[in-house]
Amino acid sequence: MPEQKTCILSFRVFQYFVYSFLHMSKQRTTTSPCDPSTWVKNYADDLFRFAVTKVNDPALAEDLVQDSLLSALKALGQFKGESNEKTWLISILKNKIIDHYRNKARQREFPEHSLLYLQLDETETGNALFFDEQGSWRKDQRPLNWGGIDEEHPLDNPEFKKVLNHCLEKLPSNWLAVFKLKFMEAKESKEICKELSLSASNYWVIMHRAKLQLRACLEKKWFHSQQ
Amino acid sequence: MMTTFLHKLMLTCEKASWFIEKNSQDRLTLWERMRLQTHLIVCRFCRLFNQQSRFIDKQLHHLINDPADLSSGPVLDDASKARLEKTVQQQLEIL
Repeated sequence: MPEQKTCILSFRVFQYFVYSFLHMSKQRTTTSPCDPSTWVKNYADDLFRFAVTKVNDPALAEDLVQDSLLSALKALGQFKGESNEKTWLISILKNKIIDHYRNKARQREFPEHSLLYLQLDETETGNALFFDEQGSWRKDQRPLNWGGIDEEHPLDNPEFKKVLNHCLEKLPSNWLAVFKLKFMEAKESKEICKELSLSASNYWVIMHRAKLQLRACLEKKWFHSQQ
Repeated sequence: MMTTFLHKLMLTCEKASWFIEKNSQDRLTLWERMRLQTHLIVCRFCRLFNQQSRFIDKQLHHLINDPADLSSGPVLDDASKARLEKTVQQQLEIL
């Protein structure tokens, strides 16, 4: 039966191809292109820049990069060849930054801030700086017109970014941490409260107060800086 | 006179700015929204605050989240890189 023979033969050939293909792809996954000895040379600058834009502090950024590289080394086994080495390292770095802010946000033993915390916790009248006894804006704190701001499109101005960062740094460090977490994690307020074991009312006090301060600072330093 | 009357009837600016912040992240109840809207109709300053608050949120989101341009900006100096390199090598030897 020559027909049957060719059939078997072609099946064998097919099998051979399938096996060699499987073998090849297996080899490809086992020899992942992950080479830690080149990490610093290839990615240190990118990782550092990423960290600096998030934390706005070069020394801290460097520490975070080092921590991430060490964690990455320990987790080498989890690196899957299919994702890019750099993307993988950046995702580790991002988690390190979030961890950093989580720890910061949980710190409430700062003497000068804990007092604020208590005051704010009781009532919402820690805002005496901005509002009078009747709850109206104090004359010197009334929002001024910023003239033609576009709420939908962010200002892509490096000078403005500098001022914004400066104003952020003026917030108490644990408030800033809550603020950054909120924007980095894109989570609902309830989840963030749970994560930081923060009561809902405390969370809103922080957000409200931080926003009031930030707004006043931006107005003074950017929008009406000449006056 | 008029403003104190309004504050009794509706929201104080303090409370309104609080609602504005809450509204930007969470849902207000129907009653809260109604009070806030009425306050915003009569209070110019809170209208400005509302607008500026949204603007700030947008800026912060942009500042913190938009993929940083990794091709330019600050770089690590050589000493720091050498230090990092050494730490990585040490750890590699341990592993």
